[in-house]
Amino acid sequence: MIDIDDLRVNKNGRTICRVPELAIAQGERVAILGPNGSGKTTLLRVLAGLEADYQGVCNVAAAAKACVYVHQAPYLFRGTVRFNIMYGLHARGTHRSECEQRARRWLERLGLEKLAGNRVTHLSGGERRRVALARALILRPRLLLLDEPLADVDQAGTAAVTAAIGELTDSTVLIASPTAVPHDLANREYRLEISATGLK
Amino acid sequence: MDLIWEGFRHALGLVVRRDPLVLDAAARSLWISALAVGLATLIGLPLGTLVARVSFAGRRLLVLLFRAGMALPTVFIGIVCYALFSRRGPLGPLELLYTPWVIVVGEFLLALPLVVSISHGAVKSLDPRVGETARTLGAGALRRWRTYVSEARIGVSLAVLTAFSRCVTELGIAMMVGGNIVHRTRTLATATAMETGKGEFARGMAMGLILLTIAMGVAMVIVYLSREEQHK
Repeated sequence: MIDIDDLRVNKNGRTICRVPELAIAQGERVAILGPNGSGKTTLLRVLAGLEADYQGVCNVAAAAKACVYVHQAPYLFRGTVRFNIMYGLHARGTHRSECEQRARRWLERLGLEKLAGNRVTHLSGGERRRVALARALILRPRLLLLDEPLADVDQAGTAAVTAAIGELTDSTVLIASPTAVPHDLANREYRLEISATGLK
Repeated sequence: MDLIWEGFRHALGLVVRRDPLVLDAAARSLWISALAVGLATLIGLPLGTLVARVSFAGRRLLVLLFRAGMALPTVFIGIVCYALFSRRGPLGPLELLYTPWVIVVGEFLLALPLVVSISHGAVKSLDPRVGETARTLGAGALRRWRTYVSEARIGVSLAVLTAFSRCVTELGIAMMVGGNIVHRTRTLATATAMETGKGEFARGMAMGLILLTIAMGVAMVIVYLSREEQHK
């Protein structure tokens, strides 16, 4: 699914992400761990195709090109929670009735059903993150890239998120986190370290 | 001072009594400007968004040209339209000179740089996560465009309102190519100039008051939307 060999991303003369070697098979759940500034977000962005300026080899299987990336600070579009959750389905031409049905299911799974009609401007940080997750999970992507998905999420929310991600049995999931994630979320860890300043 | 006060009183009377000449000029101003701005939005909004989100050779020059176009004097646009649509001009056979339609063309040329430049700025200043999120959720180019416009809707609205305000109050284009013909090409601005020149100060003042009301109404909406944008 993912094959990385000596990946380096440099910005302003400094290596902000370095991955010597990483191979991830279809269906694996990998936690990308490391301190702030170690390049976790950059790695996910490269895999998502949002960062094209890198050296080395980064091969993502063709099917996974259609992956979904959830930002560390997710952006929610103007409108309601329901609108945001259904955005990807509408974008992919899913029939309206199916969109509504799947949205209802994911709203319940992530404890958002009471917020469905609320405008996103009134949501807390944890609620916004759960909406962004629901928006991604509803698409059942082959490759799911989550940047610190449990930040600002309370215990109940963490349990709901963990259970929801666990249902994606066919998906490859990469989770960036500064600390270890629950065992139910990832069956493998890969650690990034902060690169020495000036390395190219 | 008496002249101004008397004129103001008579003007109010004309407006309240719905003087046909005043209403005729007002209605014409509104539909000509609305049509011109509508067309400018249809073309200018996609163009402004494209220039904001897509890199291509010459993009900076294009942005510069449209920004410079915002400062074009209306009388200059009027001269250009006159040259194009006069009998000896390339578009003379269309016989549009001294019709409302040529004023629409002129005001379209006035509005287009405004719509492109302001909407370009609004879309360019969007959070980069807008496009990234839309892309990774599977949105194609058209849906991404609709998302940009939706997320920048206040800025886009400002672009359209600013263009409308400029068009409805302009004098140079309507005078140069419209001819100020009663019941045909007379607008509020040309009527104000003409009536005042004839000594019909009250009627001129009435036209001016309506223009002022429209301009202030649009300005108030612009200020309100600007505040909404700041508090976002």
